[in-house]
Amino acid sequence: MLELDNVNAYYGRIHALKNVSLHVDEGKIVSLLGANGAGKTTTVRTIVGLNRSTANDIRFEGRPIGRIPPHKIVRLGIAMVPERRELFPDMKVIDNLEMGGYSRANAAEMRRDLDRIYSLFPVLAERRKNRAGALSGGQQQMLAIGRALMSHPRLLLLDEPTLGLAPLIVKQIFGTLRKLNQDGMTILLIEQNANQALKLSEYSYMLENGRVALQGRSAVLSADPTVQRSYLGSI
Amino acid sequence: MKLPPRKQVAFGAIALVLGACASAPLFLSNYPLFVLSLAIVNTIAVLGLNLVMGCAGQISLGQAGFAAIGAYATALLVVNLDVSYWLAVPLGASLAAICGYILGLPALRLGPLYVSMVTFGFGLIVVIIVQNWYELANGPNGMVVPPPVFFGRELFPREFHAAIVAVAALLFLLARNIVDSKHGRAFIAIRESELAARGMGVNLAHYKTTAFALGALYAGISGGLFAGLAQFINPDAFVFPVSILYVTMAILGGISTLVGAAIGSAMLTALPEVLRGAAEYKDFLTGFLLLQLLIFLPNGIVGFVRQHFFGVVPAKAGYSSSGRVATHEVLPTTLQRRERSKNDTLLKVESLSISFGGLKALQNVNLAVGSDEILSIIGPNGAGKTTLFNLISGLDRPTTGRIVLDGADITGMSAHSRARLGIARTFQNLDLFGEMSVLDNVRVGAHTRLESSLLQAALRTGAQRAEEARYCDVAMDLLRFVGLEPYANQKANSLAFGHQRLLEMARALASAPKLLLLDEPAAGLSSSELDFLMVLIRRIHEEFGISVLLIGHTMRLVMTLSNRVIVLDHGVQLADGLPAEIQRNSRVIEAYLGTDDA
Amino acid sequence: MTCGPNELVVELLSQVLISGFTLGSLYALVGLGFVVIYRATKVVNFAQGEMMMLGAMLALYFYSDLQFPYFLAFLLAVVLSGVFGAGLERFAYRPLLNAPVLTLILATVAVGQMIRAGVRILRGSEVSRFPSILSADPFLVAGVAVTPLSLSIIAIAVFLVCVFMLFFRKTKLGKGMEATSENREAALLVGISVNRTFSLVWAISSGLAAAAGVLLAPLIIITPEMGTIGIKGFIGAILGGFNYIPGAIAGCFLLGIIENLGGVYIASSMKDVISFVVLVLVLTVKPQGIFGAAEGKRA
Repeated sequence: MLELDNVNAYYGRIHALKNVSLHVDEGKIVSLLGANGAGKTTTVRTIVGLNRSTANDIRFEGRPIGRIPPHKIVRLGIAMVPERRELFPDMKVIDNLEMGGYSRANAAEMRRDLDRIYSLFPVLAERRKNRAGALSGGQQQMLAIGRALMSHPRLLLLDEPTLGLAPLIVKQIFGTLRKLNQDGMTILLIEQNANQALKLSEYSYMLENGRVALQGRSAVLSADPTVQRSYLGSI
Repeated sequence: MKLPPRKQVAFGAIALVLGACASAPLFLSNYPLFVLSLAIVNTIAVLGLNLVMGCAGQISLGQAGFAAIGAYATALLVVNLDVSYWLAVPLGASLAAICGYILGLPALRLGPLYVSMVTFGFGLIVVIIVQNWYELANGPNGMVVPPPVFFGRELFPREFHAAIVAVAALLFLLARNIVDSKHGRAFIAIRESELAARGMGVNLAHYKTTAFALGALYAGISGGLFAGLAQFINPDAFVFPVSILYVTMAILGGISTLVGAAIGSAMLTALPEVLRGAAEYKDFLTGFLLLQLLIFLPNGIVGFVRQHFFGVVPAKAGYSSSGRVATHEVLPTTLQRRERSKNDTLLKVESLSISFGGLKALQNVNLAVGSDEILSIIGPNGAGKTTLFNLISGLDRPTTGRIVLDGADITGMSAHSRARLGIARTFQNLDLFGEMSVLDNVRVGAHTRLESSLLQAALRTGAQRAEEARYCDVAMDLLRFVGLEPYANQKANSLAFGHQRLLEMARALASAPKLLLLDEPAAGLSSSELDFLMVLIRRIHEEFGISVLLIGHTMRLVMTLSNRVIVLDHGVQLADGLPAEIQRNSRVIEAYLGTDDA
Repeated sequence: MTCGPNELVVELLSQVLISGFTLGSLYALVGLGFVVIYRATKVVNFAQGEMMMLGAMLALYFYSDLQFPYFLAFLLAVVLSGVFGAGLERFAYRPLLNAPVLTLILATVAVGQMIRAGVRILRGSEVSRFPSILSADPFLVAGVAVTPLSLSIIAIAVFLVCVFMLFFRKTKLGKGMEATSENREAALLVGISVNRTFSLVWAISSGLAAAAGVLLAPLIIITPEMGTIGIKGFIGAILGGFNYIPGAIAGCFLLGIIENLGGVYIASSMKDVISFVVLVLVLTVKPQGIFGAAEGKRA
C-alpha cells in the first residue's frame, strides 16, 4: 500500500535519511524502530510532505506522492498522529475532533465516525467540552488518535504514541491499535518502546543513523540481540 | 600588515569618499553642499539604527524621535540658555541616549511585537509633545536656530560642513571599534541567538539597553547637527515617515553593515532632491522601495556586493580526508590545567523539581558531579534530560530544589552569572551564531573573561587591544585544537554539520570552564566523527581537568567515556552507577525497550 | 430643574463615557483585525490603520462622489478593502512567509506608507467631511444625551464584532483559522490549506478595519492621515490581552474610555500620549495584558 524507494531526506543540514526503502502492505501493522535520532520521525514527516523528498520515491496505492503538499495528503487517505500529539490546545475536544474531519464533506458519515471514536475512547465523550490543553497526557494521545481517525484514513501513521505515558495507558493504546487493525486499518507505527511494538506488529524495520539496519518479521526480530544492543550499547 | 583584498578595497573606498566629502566645499556651490551635509547628518542617524537593528537585532521604529530630542534640546540650550552650540549638541545627544536607555527597559521582557509598538509610540509621542509645547519650542511653528559659532566666528556653511564630516568620521570610527570588540560580538550574539548568548555569559539586559542608548545617542547627535545645518526645526522634520525613511536607508545600504549607512542615506537623501517631486510621491516611492528591498534584497547593497564579489567558498563536507584525524597534538596553551577545586564535588543538584503547566518534567532529582569526572545522563525520549541541563546552566528556574557549584548556591543566579562562574554548555540541536565567523563564535565563548568597558572599546585603548589580541589567540588555539583552523573566517552556518558540533565545543571551552555540559554532542555524527569526538572529550577531561556532564543516546560514547551513568525516565531518577552496571540493570532496560507483558 | 455642579459633573462624565464607548467600539473593530492577523502570522500589521482610512475614503467616494445609497457604499468599501487585503497577502507578504518577524513588520510599515501616500496622490491632502446620514441632535436616554450617530456606531460595531466572534467559534472555516493560529503544522495535517487561510485572515482583517473606517467617517474629518487612529486598536488589544480575543476587545473599549477621560480631565491634545503611557505601564506590570492569560497558555 505504501512504498518508500531509496528515499533521501535532510533535516536542516543533517542527511537524516540515506537511501531508505520500506513498504507497508495493506491491512498490516508495520513498526519502525530505532534509537533517538535514527531518522524515524523524519521518515513519516517525509511521507506526509512536511519534509521534501524527490518526486517519485514515495508511492501510496501505486501513485507517487512525494511532491504533494502536506494539506492534500490527508485527502488521499493517509492520516498522521504526530510526535508529541500537536493538538489545538485552546480549542475544545469536540472541535479538535471536528478539525480532524476538515477535509470531508459528508456530515452524516462524519457523525458516524465521531460516534465510533467516542466508543473507542469513552473519556473523550465525557470531556468533549473541555479545552484540549487541559487533558492529561494519555487523554491527549487518545484525542490525537481520534482526530486522525476523523479523516477516515486507510493508512494511519503514529509517531511515538506512547511517549511520556504511564504503562497502563500504553497498554490501552496498543490495545486500541490492535482493534483498529482488526477492523481493517493499515498502520505504520514508530516507537521507542521496541518490545511492545514488536509484539503488536507483523513486520518491522530498524533504523540506525538514517539507514535501514535490520528488517524482518517482528517475531524474528524480537529474539535478535542486535535490537537491544542498538538501544543500550554492547555489554 | 597586509590586509585581505576585501578589506583593501573597503579601506580604499572609504578613504576616497572621506576625501571627497571633506574637500567638497571647495568645488560645490551652496545648495549641493547643503544636500551633501544633510546626507552626512542622516548617515549618523542611520549608523545608530544599524547598531540597534542590524547589529543587536532589536526593532526601533522611533529613531526620528531621538533625533527630535537631540535637535530640540540643542536648539533650546542655544537659544534660551545661551549655551555654546558645540556643548549643546553633546548635551542634547546625552539626553537622547538616556531616553534610549529607558526605552530599552521594556524591551527586555517583551518580544519584537511590543518593542516595535513601544518605539513607534515613542516616536509619535515626542512629536506630539513638541507640537503642543508653545512656550519655548514654539509648537508647530518651529524654532529658528542661529548659525553655529566657533570662538566668535560664524562657521557657516563651509567650515560647518568640514565639522560635520569630522564628526561623522569620528562616530563611524567609534562604531567600527565597538562592533569589532567583545561588545559588538555580544550584540550580534544576541541577535543570532539570545539563548546561546546567555549561555556564553552575555548579560542580555545590559546589552539590550546599551544598544538602544547607543542608537539614540547617534540619532541625538544627528538631530543636533541638523539643527545647526538647517537653522530651523519644526515637528514635521521628525514625524513617523522620517523614522521609516531612516529604516529604509539602513536596509538599502545593508542593515548589518556600517558602510551601508552611508550608502543608503546618500542615495535616499540625494534622490528626492534630484527628483524634486511632491512629498507624497517621495513617500510612496520610499514605501515601495522598502517593500521591494525586503523581498528581494534584504541584505542591502553592501550585503549583495559582499555575497557576489567576495563570496565565501563553501566548506567541504565531513572531516579531514583520508581518515587522518586533525591534529590536536598542540594543546591550547591558553587552557591551563586547572588546580583541583577545594571540594571534591564540583556540582551538586539537590531535590530538583520543575513543572511546566501541569506536567512534572523533573521530580526530586539528585546528582553530584565530582571535580574530575565524566558523568553521563541517559534516558528515553522526554525523560527530562535537556530540562535538567537548562536548570543547571540557568536558562530555567526550578520549582523546588538547590543547585550548588563549588560550594556556592547558584539556584537563583542568572545564566550569564553562572557562565562567569565556570559553567559552559553545548546545545542538543546546535545553537551557533550562524552569521558570525567561526572564529568570532569562539571569541564570544570567552565573553566573560574580557574586562574592557564599552568606552574603552570605542576608544581602542591599549589595554583593550591587548586583551582582544590575547583572547583572539586563545580562540585560534582552540580552533586548532578541534581541527577547525582552516575555517576560522568563514560563516558558522556554512560549516558541515560535524564541524558545527566541534565549533560549539570550542566555543564552550573558550571561557576555560570548570564544568562542561554537553547535550547530545554525538547526535548525527558518522562513525569516524564519533571516534574523533570521543578522543577530544577524553583529552579535554584529562589534560585540563574539566568535569564533563554529558547527555547522550549514543551508547558507544556514553559507556566508553563515562565514569558514571545516571538514568532518567519520566523526570525521575532510575539508576546511578557504573556503565556496566547500568547496562545490566533491568529497570533501565525496561525503560528503554518497554516491558515484556502483553 | 436646576443644574447644580454635581449634575453637571455626572452629565459630563456620562458624555465622556458615551463618546469613549463609541470610540472604543471602533477601536475594537480595528483591534480584532490586528489580533486575528497576529495570532495567525505573528505579524504586527502597521498598515491596519491605513486600511481603516482606505475604507473611509472608499465610502466617501461611493457615497459622496458617486451618490450611491449608504449601505451599498458601506458594503463596497468593506468588500473592496477585503479583496485588497487578500491581494496584499498574496503579493507583499507571502514572499516573506519565512522571513524573520522584523522583516514582515517592516513590510507592513512600508505598505502602510504606500497606501497613505497613494491616497494623497490620488485624492490630494485636502480634508473632507463625510455627509451626515443621521441626525446629530442628541436625545436623552436615562438622563444622558446620546446622538443617534453614536448609538448606531456602537450598535453596528458590536454587531460586527459578535458576528466575527461567532464566525471564529462556530463555523468550520473560522475554526480552521483558529486552528492554524494555534498549530500551523497540525493544521496542515488535517487538511487545512495554510495559504488560503492566510488570505482569508488578511481579507477579514482588512474588511473589519475598513468597516471601522466607514463608521468613523461621520465623526471626524477625513484625511489621508486618519489612519493613525488605527494604531489605537492595537494598543487597546495589547492592553486587554493580545492572545485572548474577548480580552483584546474589552481592552479596546477600556482604552476608548480612558482616552476620553484623560482628554477631558487632563488635556485634549495629550490623548495619544496618555494612551501610550497607560500601555507602557500595563506592559511593565503585566505583559500579557489586563485580561490576558498568564504564561503557560500556548501563545
